[in-house]
Amino acid sequence: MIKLENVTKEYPGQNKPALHNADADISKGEFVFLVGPSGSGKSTFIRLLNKQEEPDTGRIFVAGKDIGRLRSWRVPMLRRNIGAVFQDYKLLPTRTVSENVSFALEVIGRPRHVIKTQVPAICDLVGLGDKMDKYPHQLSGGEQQRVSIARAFVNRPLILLADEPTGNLDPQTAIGIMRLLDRINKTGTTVVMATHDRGIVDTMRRRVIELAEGDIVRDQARGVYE
Amino acid sequence: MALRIDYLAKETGNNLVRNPSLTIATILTVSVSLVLLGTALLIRRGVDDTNIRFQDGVEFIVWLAPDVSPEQRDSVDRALEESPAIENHRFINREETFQEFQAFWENSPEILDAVEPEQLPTSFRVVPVEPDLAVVEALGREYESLPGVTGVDFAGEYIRRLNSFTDTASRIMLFASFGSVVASALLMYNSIRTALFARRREVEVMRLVGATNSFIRIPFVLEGLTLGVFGAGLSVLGVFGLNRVIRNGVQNADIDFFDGFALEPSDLTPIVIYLLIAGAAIGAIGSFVAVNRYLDA
Repeated sequence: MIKLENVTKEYPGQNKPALHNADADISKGEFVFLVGPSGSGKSTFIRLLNKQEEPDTGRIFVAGKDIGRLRSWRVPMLRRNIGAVFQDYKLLPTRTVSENVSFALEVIGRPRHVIKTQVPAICDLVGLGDKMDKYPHQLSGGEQQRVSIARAFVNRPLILLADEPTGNLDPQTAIGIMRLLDRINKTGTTVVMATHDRGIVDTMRRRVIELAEGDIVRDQARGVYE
Repeated sequence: MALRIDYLAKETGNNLVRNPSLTIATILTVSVSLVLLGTALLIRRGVDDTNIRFQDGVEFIVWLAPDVSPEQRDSVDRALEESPAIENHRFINREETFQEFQAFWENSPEILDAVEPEQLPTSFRVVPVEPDLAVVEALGREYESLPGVTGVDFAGEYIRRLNSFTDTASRIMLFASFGSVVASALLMYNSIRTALFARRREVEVMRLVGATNSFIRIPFVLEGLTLGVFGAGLSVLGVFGLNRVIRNGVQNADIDFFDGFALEPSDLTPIVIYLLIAGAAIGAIGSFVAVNRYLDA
């Protein structure tokens, strides 16, 4: 599903590359943790996958396609197959829960009857069926992250990218979010999650790719944090 | 993928009311600069009409001395008759001259009282074949030196003077309007840039979930277009108002000379079309540049 071949990414003004000769192969339906300290290249790894960044060298394949050779007008189509969740949720504060979720379908031109059925269904799935008319500021952090996951998943993407989704949440709430991501993974969606939450990684025992200063230093099935 | 009309209308409307002061400033700037442009076009149109009116009958007047002898008069008459460049000519006797004089000075009885018909000069009114001002002038000069002739006056001289004045005025106005049109396009650009900034969260999310570039951009370009056309609409009202003022002024002035400047509202159609196109262009260009610059894909 995802394949990196010798990928290097350097940011201008930095003397070390953010990602250095990275190779990785992630199959469909896998759940992968990216671990490592801040600045180790986790976010860059994630941002390369949905073309928020371009690699300097190397090739990246998503669903069999070399995304480096993708024409710019095709990039939106790539992103429709890749949901993304962030530490800061990126919700629209002036829109309700259901409006935030339906926004993701509206802006890719889904017909209204699809939106009408999909949005309540996904809100139920993430456990917010009774809070669809609330605004983000009326929700707890965990609930806001659930809205963001609902938005990322409502279009049934092949891949879900999560960049420190539990970074702002207390451990109890984080477990709830992980249960949700696990459930989404069980529907066949490939999940790639960057985290430095040791407890979560050690409990879930999934594949772990460890990064240190831009290098992949460990790639372990059913791994632990370190 | 079809863009939904209701989505576009809602987004554009929201953008317009999000920052009312900037929206109003942009519309007003566009309209003021287009009023300038419209006025320049209006004057130009008046000049053209005046030229057309006078070209029909551009004439010169050969003035005869008050003590001209009948022989001298006949020789001038013959010279005019024989010239192939002259369409027709007409002798104006003392009585007719006096009537014209009376009509012209009807509000000044003290001048009329002081003048007797015998004191007024007689003249020939001449209509040349070729209405071109330069040709008419060269032609008229030929008669200046004939015996019994005191001078030659050209109706064209006044038109030319009037035209050179209005022409300069319209050029200056065109120049000023060009400057303010550029200013309003720049303001448009900044206004759309501000809208982009205000909606940067939405834009970020739209990109992440895979909205196409055109889908993201069209509402902003549409916003610019709406602002431009609104401004143009206001300027059209301004130009109609201005035309009304000019029309009333010209019609009350009792001088036929300026009748070319009294345009019927229906005569303004081309100007209205130009202004609407210019407004739409300001909006489209300003917003297009802003969107391309700040939504680099």
